[in-house]
Amino acid sequence: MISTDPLTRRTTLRGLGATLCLPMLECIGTAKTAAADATPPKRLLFLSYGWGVAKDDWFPKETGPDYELPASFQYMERHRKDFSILSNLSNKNATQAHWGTTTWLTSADVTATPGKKFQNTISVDQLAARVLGKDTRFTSLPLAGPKESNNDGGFGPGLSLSWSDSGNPIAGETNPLGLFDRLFGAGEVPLEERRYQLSKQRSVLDAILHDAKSLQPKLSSTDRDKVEEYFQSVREIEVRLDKADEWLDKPKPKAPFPRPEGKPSTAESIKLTYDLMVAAIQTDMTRVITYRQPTEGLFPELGFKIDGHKTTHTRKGQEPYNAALARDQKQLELVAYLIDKLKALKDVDGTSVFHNTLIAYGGGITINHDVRDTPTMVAGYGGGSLNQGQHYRYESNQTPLANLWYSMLRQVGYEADRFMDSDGKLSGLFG
Amino acid sequence: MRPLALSAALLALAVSLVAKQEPVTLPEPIRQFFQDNCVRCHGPKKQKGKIRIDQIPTLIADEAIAQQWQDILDVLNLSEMPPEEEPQPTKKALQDTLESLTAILRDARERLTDTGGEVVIRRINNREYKNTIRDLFGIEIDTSLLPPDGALEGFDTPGQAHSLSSLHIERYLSVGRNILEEAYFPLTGKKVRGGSPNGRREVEERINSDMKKSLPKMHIQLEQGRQSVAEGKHYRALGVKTKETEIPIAEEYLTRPETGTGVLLPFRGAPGEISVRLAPWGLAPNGRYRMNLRFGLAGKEKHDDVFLQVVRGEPGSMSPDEVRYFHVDGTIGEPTEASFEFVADGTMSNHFYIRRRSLEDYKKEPFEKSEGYHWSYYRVAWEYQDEGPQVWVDWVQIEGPFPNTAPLAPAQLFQAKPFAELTREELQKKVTEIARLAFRQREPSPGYIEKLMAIYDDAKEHGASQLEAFYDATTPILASPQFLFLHEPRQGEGRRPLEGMELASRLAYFLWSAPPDDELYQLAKEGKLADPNTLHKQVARMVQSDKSKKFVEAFLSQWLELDRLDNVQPAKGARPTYDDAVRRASREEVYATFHHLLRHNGPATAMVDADYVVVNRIMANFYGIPAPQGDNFQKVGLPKNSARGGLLGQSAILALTGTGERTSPVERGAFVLRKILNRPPPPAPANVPMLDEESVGTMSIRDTLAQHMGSAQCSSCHRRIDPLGFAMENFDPVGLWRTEVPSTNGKAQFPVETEGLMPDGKRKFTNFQEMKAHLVSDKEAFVTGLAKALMVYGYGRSVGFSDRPLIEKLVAQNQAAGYGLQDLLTGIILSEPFQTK
Repeated sequence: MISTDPLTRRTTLRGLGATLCLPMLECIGTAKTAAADATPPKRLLFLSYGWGVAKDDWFPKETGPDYELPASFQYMERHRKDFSILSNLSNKNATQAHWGTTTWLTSADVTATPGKKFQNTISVDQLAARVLGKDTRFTSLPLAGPKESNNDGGFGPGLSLSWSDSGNPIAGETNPLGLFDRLFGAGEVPLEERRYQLSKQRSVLDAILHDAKSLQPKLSSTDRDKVEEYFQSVREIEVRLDKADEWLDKPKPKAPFPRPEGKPSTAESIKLTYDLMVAAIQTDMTRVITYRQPTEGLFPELGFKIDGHKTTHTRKGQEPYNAALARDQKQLELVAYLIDKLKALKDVDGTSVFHNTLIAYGGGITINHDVRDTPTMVAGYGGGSLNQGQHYRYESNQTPLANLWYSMLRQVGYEADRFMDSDGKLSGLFG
Repeated sequence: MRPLALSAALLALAVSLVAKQEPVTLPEPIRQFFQDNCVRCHGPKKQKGKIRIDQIPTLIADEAIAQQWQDILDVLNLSEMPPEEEPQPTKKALQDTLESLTAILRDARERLTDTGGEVVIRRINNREYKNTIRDLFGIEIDTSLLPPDGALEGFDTPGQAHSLSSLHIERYLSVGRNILEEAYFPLTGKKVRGGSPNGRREVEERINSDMKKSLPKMHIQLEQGRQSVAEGKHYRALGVKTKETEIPIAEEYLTRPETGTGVLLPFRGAPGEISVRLAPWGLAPNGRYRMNLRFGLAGKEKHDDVFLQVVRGEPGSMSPDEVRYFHVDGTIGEPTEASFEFVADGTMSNHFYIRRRSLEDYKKEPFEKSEGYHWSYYRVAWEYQDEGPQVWVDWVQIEGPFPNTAPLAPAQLFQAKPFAELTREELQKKVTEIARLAFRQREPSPGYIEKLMAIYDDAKEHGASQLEAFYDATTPILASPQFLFLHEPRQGEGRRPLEGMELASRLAYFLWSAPPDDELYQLAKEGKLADPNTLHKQVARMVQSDKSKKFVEAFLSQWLELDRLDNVQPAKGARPTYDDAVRRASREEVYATFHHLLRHNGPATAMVDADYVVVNRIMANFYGIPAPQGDNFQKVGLPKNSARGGLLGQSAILALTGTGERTSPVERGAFVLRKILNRPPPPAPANVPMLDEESVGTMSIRDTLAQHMGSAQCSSCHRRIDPLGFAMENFDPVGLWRTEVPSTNGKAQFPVETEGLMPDGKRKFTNFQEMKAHLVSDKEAFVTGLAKALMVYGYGRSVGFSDRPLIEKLVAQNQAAGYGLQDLLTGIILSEPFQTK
């Protein structure tokens, strides 16, 4: 019997209830810096998707704290005091009508590099990871959904929301089961065995590097860039192994729930990914996560026979609009679920993990071909104080989205003067 | 076959064809437009917004200048300038300026980003990885854990599109380890996992015994149900699930003589379907299998359109892994035998369901769907009143697993003596051999092998078994650059001709998406491959091989965006003859037509127009043309004046440009511009308001889209796009002919109006055939676009400005040879960029 509610099927995870603060405390305590001064770590989550939104039901009509909650946010009511909706932020360098996520976190003008048809730049999460990722097993955790068939799901180029230092796409983990294994792997392994595994992994990297180096002297300059990507990737794994070395005396944390089984629906896989994100935070494996979530599969699950592209070329009162609204509601219902989980976790100082986390949720397309005045929602406090619980309307077409990224960087302690085209902190929300 | 007309002279010619990149200049009319409309406020006298248009260079020599003009174009597209209160340009002037500036900036950008045509080193993509592993080890693998590939200009082959991050390497290592364990599983000496699938299954046995066992229970239940009703309760108050109607069906079924020896389908839902598992418990070793079936028509009447459907998928799954159809032209007396091959790779389901293809024609209203039935199959409800022909299935047989196409490095490599008894030296030889095979016959360096053997030694020291240590040592091979990259080392300055082995790899990954076979390696070793005559023969051989299907499918699905067909879903009942069978076959038709042309060196221009189609029976029946014999795709001649020949008459193309419920003249017109006329319209500009098609209710689509002509911003492109789409309005959303078209909300009907102008704005047409005649006279444009797409796919790089002279040359050459498709492919393979590094 197939349940009509996709969220109650067997892949749903149990055991992550609201009573988890004790084991969590132990886990968080293993983070080196946090244990020393009992200051909870700060965390950043970036959540995005492809196509545009059901605009008229996404942005509130009134500004300030007393705005009427738009229909898209109906499931967010219980968190009302802890998030804000931001209207009229624009990524001025976005020029492609169907690229929802390519430059959402980079604010790059991808055609501006001489001699290149396309060149992106580092994304804000990767910048933040330089500070927040120093002491965790994973510097950052880029996640994505499976490849979407229709027009690339409205994402545009990229393999996740994250882009490297050199502007190359960073592959996101696309499979929740793969993510589970990556985080919690083989379970409990004796120290001696862990030491050997680590040295074996180094030997493996050593062998493939040997092969890579044999190519190097004979490469043309364009080929060298490609092979350099290979080296860089191996180096990243080496850094991870170095970290693992430091963590050697501490066993990999136990998964807070058993390995899920079966093939999840789209809604289930988003929920499962949120569960795993919470688990990664709970065990302090990472403090920076990006998630480019799949949405195409939500339509059939919500009873609509439509593709995402159609839902972005529509207006209120039409069927595709209803599908877009249902999708937005489902997505935000799942975000509300994520916030529940984060609120239920207590950090070392007794504050909630949610309090020490800053979540940006939104996308690069508003509706139709509009890539300005894009939808943005910010939740959490990043460990500080924020004027949450309001609808902020900025000057249309004028306020760089980069101001939000800049403000978020500052909020979690990254010292920067600006981010891309930012011209200051976002007033209101960030004081 | 027409003689192949390309010669080595082309190679010599091509070398001299490196074009110089001249920057683009804005032409006089555009400069005049800005002079007339903008300079008054943005010129020497006033500099509103600190912008002076008269000082922006009209020679677009670099990106910065291109960007300034792009900003101006954006402002014009958004109607932000000139401001409302200022005098406005005429619509015609604005429209021409928008169109021409868009085209110029595109051209300028192509010139500015031209890389001079070097093929960037490329990684084998996930498709090629899967095929490579099959050829190496003879196993089918699941690549879904590898990060997805990017694409460049729609294709997954260019090196520029392939990124590599640490996740890739982690996954190449973990997937590689699984591959080795699977490939060398026989070395464990353990029994092969899963049961044996072999043997004939008499499909009636279980169905009949189930039915016989159920009947007495059904009688009892029915009696209980009657009592309930007599007592004034609901029929199902006692949990009765049997309907009166079911018992006589079952009883009749069992009395039919044919059911003693086979299964009758669908027989009003009684059996409904036959379920077959690959092996007991659905577990079977990975590999290649064959399923044989014997079946015939149950009645005396002959039918042309009865098919047996074999669906592969998990029970209850809405998206099957595979579906096949077999024409039922035999009878019970003289049954047909059919067979098909499939692979078990651990990811695809091992459940098969055999049914009669159900066409809407056979269906009556569903039978009281909400009530329960003894046979819980939903099929009972649907097929109870099915009066279509019955199919009798005698038996099903599965054979396999067969070894997969003589793998290069199979487990047999080691079976001369028990694995555990191999000495370290012997093992090192094997490791070296596997590395050499994986590196496409390139010798691994001794230092590399030493590193691998060090891993082996370490593992042994830590108590690993010989086999475990061997897995540890060989896993890095499948994540090493020489395996993952098609590596063509540089030798001194400038371009050099490829070496034999390099050419063999480029060739094999182009035409097979797989590594070279022994024959190619042999020719390469002997130094014969570079010879143009040998290459001609090899291309001819390679396209005949079944392996070339991988090329045909990958190239066409990416070039023509056939994935969009997945989103085509006509409303239930709206297109009764368009079912899943047709949708699947329509995609195959595109492949089969191209493959037919390729194998016979038929003219590429037949994709614009032809007096034949390449179809199977399902498509022929759908189009209403005479059907070929058997289940394969074959060439079928068309009656005179048929609209079918060529891509634009194919259901797949006509359907994927819409939703299945409505056609989109804009999408169809854009398709013609992009794929047939090689004149791709620019992408819709960001932030320009969309035309609202849905809100105009009962207007015809033609009148709705006429709004595009109202503003210069829309009409600058849509005047070229929309008329081509209108010319195709005689084809309904799934590609059947129609003479009336519904309004945008479906509530009114209008006669189809097809007349219009070609994109040159001069040539007129009144209907589809006349439009197609113009396309035929522009066939050179089509071949140019096709050549360019094949070059991007085959070279594995973007084809830019400096390639233009080469493309022109190739097309001229191809034209002289009668546009043979195989000639075109050979010409690309013989061209300088393909032959050199």
